[in-house]
Amino acid sequence: MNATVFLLLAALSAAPLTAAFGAARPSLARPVAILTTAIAFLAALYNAFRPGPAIDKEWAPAWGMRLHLEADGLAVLFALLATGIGLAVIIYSSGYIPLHLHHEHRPEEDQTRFFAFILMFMGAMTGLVMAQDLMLIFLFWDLTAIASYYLIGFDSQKREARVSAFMALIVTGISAVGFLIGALMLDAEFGSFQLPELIASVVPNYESDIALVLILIAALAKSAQVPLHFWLPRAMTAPTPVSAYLHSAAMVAAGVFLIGRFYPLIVLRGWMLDLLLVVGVVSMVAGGLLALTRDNMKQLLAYSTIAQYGYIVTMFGLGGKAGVLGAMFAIIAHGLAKSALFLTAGTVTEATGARELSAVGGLRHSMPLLALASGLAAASLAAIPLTMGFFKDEYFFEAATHHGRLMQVIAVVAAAMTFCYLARFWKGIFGGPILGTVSPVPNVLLAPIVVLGALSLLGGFWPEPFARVASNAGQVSLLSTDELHPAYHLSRTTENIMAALAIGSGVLLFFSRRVWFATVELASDLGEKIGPERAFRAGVLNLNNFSDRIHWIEVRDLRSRVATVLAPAALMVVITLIFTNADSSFELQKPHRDDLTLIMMIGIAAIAGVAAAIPRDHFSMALALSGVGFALSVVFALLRAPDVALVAVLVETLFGVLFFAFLALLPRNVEHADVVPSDEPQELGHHHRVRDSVLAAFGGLLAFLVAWGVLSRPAPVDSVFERYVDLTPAAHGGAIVTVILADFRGLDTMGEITVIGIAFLGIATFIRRRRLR
Amino acid sequence: MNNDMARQAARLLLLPTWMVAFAILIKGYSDSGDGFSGGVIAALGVIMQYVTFGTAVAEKLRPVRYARQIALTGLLLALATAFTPVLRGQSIMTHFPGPNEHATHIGSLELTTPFLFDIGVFLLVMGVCVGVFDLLAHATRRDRS
Amino acid sequence: MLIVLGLGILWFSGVCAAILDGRRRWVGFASVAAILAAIAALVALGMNVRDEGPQTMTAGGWPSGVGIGLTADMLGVTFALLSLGVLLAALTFEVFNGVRSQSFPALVLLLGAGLTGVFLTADAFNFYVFFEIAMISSYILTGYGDEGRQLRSATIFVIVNLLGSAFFLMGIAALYHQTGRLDMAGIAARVALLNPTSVILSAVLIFTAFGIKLGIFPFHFWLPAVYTGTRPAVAAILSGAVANIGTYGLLRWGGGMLPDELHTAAPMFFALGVISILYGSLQALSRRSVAEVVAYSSIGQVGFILVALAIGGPAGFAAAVLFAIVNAVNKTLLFLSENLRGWLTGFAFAVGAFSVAGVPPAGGFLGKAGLFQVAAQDDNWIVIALVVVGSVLSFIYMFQIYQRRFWTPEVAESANAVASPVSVRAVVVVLAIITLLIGFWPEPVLWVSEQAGQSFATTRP
Repeated sequence: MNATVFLLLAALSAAPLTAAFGAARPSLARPVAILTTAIAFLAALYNAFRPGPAIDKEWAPAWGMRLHLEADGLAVLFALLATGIGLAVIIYSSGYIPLHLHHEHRPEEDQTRFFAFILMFMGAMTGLVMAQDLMLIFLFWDLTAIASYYLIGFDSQKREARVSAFMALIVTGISAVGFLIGALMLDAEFGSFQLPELIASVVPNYESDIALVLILIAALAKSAQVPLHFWLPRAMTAPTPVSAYLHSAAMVAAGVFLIGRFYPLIVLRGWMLDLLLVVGVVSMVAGGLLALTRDNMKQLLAYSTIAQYGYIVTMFGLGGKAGVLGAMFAIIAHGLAKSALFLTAGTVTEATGARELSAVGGLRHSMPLLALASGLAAASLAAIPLTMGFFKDEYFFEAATHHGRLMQVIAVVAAAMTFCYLARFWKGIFGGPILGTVSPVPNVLLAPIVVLGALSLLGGFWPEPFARVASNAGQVSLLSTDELHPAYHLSRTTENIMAALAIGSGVLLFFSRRVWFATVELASDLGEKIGPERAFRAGVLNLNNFSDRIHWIEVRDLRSRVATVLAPAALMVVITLIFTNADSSFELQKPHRDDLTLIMMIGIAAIAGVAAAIPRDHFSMALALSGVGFALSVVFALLRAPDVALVAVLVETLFGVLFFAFLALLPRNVEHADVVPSDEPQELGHHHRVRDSVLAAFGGLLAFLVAWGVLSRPAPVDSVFERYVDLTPAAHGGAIVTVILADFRGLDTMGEITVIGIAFLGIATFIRRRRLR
Repeated sequence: MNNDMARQAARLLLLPTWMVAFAILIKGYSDSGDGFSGGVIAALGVIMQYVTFGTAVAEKLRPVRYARQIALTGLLLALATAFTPVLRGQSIMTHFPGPNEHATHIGSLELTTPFLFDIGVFLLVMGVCVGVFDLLAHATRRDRS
Repeated sequence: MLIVLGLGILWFSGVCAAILDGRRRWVGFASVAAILAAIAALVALGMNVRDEGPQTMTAGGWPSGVGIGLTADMLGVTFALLSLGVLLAALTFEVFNGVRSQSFPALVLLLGAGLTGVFLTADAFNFYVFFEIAMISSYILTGYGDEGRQLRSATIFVIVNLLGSAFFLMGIAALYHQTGRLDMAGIAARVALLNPTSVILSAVLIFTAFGIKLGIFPFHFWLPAVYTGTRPAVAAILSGAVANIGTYGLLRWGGGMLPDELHTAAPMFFALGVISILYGSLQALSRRSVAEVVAYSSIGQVGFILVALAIGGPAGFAAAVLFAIVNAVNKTLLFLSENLRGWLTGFAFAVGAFSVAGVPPAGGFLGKAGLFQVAAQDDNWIVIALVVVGSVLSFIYMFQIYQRRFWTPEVAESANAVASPVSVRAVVVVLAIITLLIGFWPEPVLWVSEQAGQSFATTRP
């Protein structure tokens, strides 16, 4: 087994193993989860140094799908993120989830579910980042969405959780359909699902443009970019470790991962980069603005996530070495720092019970270690020198500088906002006067944050290993051999000036918040209220109302009416007659004098038929019906078909008797009841009767036309019937009809007597049921 | 026509009806008629007994008591005729003797498997018709009481 | 011999089961065994078809055209196996649950015989005969249960479908009058010589009959009432097995016998398919009961099949078959798990929901992918947009009802009062796992539908 296979298996087996052990004994879920994640992390680390060879096996040759996975640089970066931050979060969860379940009055067994889904996500994410086959990417892509759905809806007893889970699933699930279409279009156009082959063969054209835009939409929705961002703040109803892991560091990163994966195709069209740029900038600004004023800690971080991925998308849009490789670096820095901040929020809520910044304060006294660790994380995200995040902004500024003055301004403003809201976040929790009471928290709710914070600091002093991972990833996207070598330049480079400007204006912004806070808050609230989320909710609501309305119409007017089948069928015949210019010659042969009796009998049958259709009591209807039957038997006899006539007479006789016997079974009031249900008003009943008569006449007329039209066509000269006649003597028979029935078409007879037998079974069943009642 | 006469006629007619039915079945292969018509006629004979004598008397007739079994036997007989050739590696519904081969005669009746098949049809149709009528008669009588 | 083996097993065992009391467990298990045996026979037949091409037999050893012909090709075998698989699941489910009527197992077996016959016959009238066997069995099955509700739905079902059968019979009679043949190949050969407009009316009658079977708009009005009125096992049978007659019929009669007419009628199919998708999905949105949502969802899903048929050609037909396969599996799973309680039933239902919404690894995404693929190949944007809209709506209605049924505490708690028997739940879990397997390893399903789609590639001009 090589390193690639091992990483894949380790990641994919974590969830089933945890679920199995957890099902056997709930207390085993936690240790197994931690152990399997740790193994997966080690496997990912190993692949970082010695990537295994690519896996490429047949999967579904019918469609050219292959199990094609490779631990390339891009895969290693995201696998490290998924398993590494995964490990931290799962260790954290092992302390958090039992407490959470306790608060929610839920049984402890439910934690197995939690760990199974969160590990399912880890497996799916690892698979996703390694997959080179578009369909395989799609499969893992949606697996991450499923895991996210169940984790957001983990507290499904709460309405809020159900609504949020639904919203997240709909947005990410539907945008994933875009990916599927894009993948199938690329396959249809270039004949392959394999990304390396596509990268080699795609010549941009109309189809590939649409395909890539659809894929980008899927990616941007997953990374919660405006205007498909609104699900992310709602997703914060999930337990905090989920927010830290899926909804900031890993799953949301899948969107930018996808951009990275398809980057070699995206760069072929300049306008696609511009598209990324626009979406990224809008998200960065909108997310930043909203984050500035949110009071709920997790909401603030969620908007910050939108803004940060806006950064990264913008960097991809800016392109080049600084843009793309820098984006990779930013993904790492953001993942480490943001998960630490989310976990901080979780720990704080656990300790104080508060979810809002306004309800906590002064925790630096009671939780100094936490204050330090999360301070480091916040500093990193805010790009303070000596933290890892500083370099991400350096590359951002560098890329922006290549793109002109406007971009530089936007970059600085975005960075300033980042600084401001993070300062608000940190100061809101740890600074200021002491608010509320603090209960002690277990160390397991602190340790992961400390590690993540320490890593953010480490990256500031020794960025080289992180930069190497980012470079390897960026090389896959850029198809180049560029490398990042982050270092501090103590000179007046443009980037340094911009960084200083950003921090300076961030500080200014933070201290002047009395001035702008109310305005921005109002605007943000308005944005939340009338933004795309509102459109989504209104859309779902209106669809449901519309559905109610048409359903009511169907139930009231259409259901259980024969006319609803008859009328459309007749209509289809009419349409056919009109539009296909069906050869509709209707011939009328001159009647022969010998046919007089025949015509008379047919006339009688027709009259009896009409009589049967006039609603009276069942008895006369049955009589009229048998009149039709007997008249037709005579017709058969006159047409020199004695066998058929004999059968027809017998069947009519039998049916008559059975029919009357059935009528005897009907309750008295039904037998003589009016055909129109009595619960309808008289006029309406009349109205229905007229309508039904017209429809019935219409249907009958068209059936007549069809029959006439067909019979007007000449019969072929050599019908199979001639063969029957010729072969009858050979089949030891004299009567052709019987030989046909028992020999040539004996299988039909066999079938029909089976039908009779089954009918008997049915009658017996229904009548016996009556007896039981 | 008084009731007694009807009863007399019905009683007298039962056997002739069955004979006619049987004749129609047997001659079916060379002349008009077949197992289906025969079955219906035989059943009508039984139903006549119901109409004239009522359920209690009619039920004593054997075809009534074993209607279900008769129908099933007929169906199985027909099925067996159809599927037996398959077991011998021939097509389904292959009859014996084959086309233009010699067949044993009893009078004008040729002993062939289609005849067997027709008997199956006859039994099924008769069994079902009688059976259904019996069910109805029962249900009606219960309703009345 | 293999070609009639499965049919024979089902036919004989069905007749024998008819006199036994189906409520006894051993009768139920014996019936399950009979279906398994028939499936084994059909799998063997399918292997032969794969290795040697279509298998044929002419009844009575007569020349073809005189005797009734049977033909097993990939299309027929696929549909037979699919339908028998659904019957197997539904019957096993009901046997574990406790059969409530003496005749239930017999009817399921005879329905199986009828369906197998329908899918294997090569004769137009014989098709109708087997079709009738299947239909009369399903009429009675619809009334299976203890409540008046079921009888009412059975009545609607019978009346509407008898009308459909009448249309169908008229169509066959008309074709016979014009071609003088009853074997499908003969009819196809003669129809090809006739002026297409002269058989279009017969074709429309036949297509309408299959439309009623499928429950497409505007022939669907019976469907929700019946699917919700009857018991879950029967609803699964109707939507998973019996509805296949519609898809198969349109393929065999439209694609195989009346290709020009199908081509002429394609715009109508397309329009009806589009309306079905929209109408069914929109109706499904706000329905409160699971059965109702799934019933309306069926209307929408067969709309996709119709659209694939309208696109036509081997690729379109393959997409239709593929969609029919995954749809049958989905509907069986959803109807059977609808009323179950207890551990893992939520999982089973969720797999079905993801499958309908087209989320892998549940197999349903393949059906939509197949349609996208066909549409992408000839840049048919309308189809792509339509499937997207259909997907969006199916996402919304499936998960609204899933959350209402399994996540809302009040509903879920009352629902979890008494857990269903483990064996019953095992049936739906197995179905769910099959659905997942289709997603994880789609090759068999893809291959089979591709082969089936090519069944009459040669007859198309």
